[in-house]
Amino acid sequence: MKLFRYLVIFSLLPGLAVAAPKVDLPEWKSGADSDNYYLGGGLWPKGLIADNPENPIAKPDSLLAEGVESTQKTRGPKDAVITEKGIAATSVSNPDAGEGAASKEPVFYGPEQSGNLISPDAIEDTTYVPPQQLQAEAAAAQNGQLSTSNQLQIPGTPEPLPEESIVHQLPPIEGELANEFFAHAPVDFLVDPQRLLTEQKSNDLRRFLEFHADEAEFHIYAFVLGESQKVPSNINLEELHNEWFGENPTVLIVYHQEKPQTTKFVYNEGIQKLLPKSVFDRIAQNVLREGGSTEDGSDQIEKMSLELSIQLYWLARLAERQLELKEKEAAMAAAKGEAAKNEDAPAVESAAVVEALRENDKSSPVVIIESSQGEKRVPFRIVLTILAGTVALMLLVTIGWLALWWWRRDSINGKPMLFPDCEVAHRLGGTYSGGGFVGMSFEVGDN
Amino acid sequence: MKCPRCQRPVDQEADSCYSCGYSAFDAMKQYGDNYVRMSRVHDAAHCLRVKDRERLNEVVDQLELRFPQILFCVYLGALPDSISISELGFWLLNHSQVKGAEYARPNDNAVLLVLDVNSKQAGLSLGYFTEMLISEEDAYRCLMAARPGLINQEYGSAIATVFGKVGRILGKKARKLRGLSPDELKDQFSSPGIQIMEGSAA
Repeated sequence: MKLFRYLVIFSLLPGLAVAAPKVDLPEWKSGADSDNYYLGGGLWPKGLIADNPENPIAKPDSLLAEGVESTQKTRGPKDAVITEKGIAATSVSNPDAGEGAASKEPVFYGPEQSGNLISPDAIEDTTYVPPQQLQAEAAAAQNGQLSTSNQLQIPGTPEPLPEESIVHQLPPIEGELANEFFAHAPVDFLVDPQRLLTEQKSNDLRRFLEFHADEAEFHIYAFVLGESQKVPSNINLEELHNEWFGENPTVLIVYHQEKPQTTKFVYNEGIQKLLPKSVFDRIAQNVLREGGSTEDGSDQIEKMSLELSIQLYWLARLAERQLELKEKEAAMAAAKGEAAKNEDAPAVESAAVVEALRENDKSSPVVIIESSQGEKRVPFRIVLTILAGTVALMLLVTIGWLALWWWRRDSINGKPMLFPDCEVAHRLGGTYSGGGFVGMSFEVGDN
Repeated sequence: MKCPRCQRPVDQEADSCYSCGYSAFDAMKQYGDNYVRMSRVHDAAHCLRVKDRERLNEVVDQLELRFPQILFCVYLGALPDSISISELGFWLLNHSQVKGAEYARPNDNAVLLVLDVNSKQAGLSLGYFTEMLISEEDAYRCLMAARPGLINQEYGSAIATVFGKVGRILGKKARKLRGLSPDELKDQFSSPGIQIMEGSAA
């Protein structure tokens, strides 16, 4: 039953399609009406189409010139600006070509140029040269003369085009810019008023320098200059450093963008006097090597700052040790100088020197060895080590001797040992032995 | 004490073994009633190298210096199956004279190490005096210490090991006896067949 129903429905489907309500299509009676619709009878009237070439609102006037002669005959009153002559002249819009140009200014599209209209009269064959002229020019060329009347081009190396300078030349550091650099002590660890570094790099570097300042003894102030910029001649960086930072351990690094080899380092005067120049040279060498490992300016200053931070840690350690040494030397010199004054009382002097030295050098106690040749200062640590070593050695020797004695006590080559004599009754008829025996097999399988 | 033949216990003053009837007379019948001379290191099997012999002589010299009463000797033989090393040891101690042994070192003070390289047997035969000083356990321990060397046929070092061990045991025993009074000495040697001599060294 169900199958039958489906069969009926399928058989009725074509009939239903025919019986469906008809679409209300537009109709026209004459051929002129058909032009008012697209596609020769489309659904949409042309007046409603935005890009309708015949719609004066939607289309510029210049395009009204386009068309085919056959269609112009049938256009409505709105297309009256188009004349038969203008259209027939050329398919290219030309204001001079028609009378319509006089009445309405034509609008042209495309690249603007002077005399942007190409007149048909201007088109002429310029390549034609009369044979007489050719002969004359050939003769002149043989004589080494070049004709300038025509546009003969001499082959040769083309003139190099002027190179456009793509590097933006930074202004010299003077006036307002110089003030931004050097007028006041820097508040920030990174001084880049020209914003030569990218914002990201600038922030990163600034954060790193702040972190370094929190952790390290030496602070780093980085000045970023352009490649061609120079520190003004009236600016003395050492004096500025001294004025701004005084004795605070600080390093001023003046970096020229993408020219790390010209970087200058300015240290405190005291540190420079304390340590040999080779130390600073080595630091500069390491930092510049790091900077030279990359070509990017932002990376260069970042890498250099990192390396300088590491180097400054060791510099601080070195300076600290050097200071301690100098203090010790000064104390020694002072004590000796004082002792030299009191030559009259040598015994007291000796005691005074010892006391003074002990007082002045409490951090590392020393043992003073007095002899006829003078005094010798031996660090207490060394004396202690020698004493402990000696005691340990003696202890080892004693233990070894005891162990040896214990071992040799039972050894066969000790001192003679005697047993008490005793007589044992004979047995089994033996004169010297009664068969006392203990045996063992040393066959591999036996036990 | 055990019988050299049947290894059964034997009384202190028994003339023959109660089990098998073995006595010195049987040993004489088997090996002869004559006396033989042997050196301290008697290598009848010829299995010791010259260096081993020299080294063993040094060891024995040192032991004799340390224990002037004790005779140390060793016999290495390649014995037939019919000869037992315990019986041979018993006969050797009663019928041999060790070259170099002085009057102070009679055979009853002897420690004789007998080695049979054929049957792979080793044993310590002790005289009447030394069996009082060295117990069976100690003697067995001395032999066991040398067993690896004997298995590897390094007889020189093995014999030196046995004598070294015996020397240590004797040293301990001597120190132990030195501190004892005569009464304590009597208690120590409390066997009925033992009689401590008056005025003997302790």
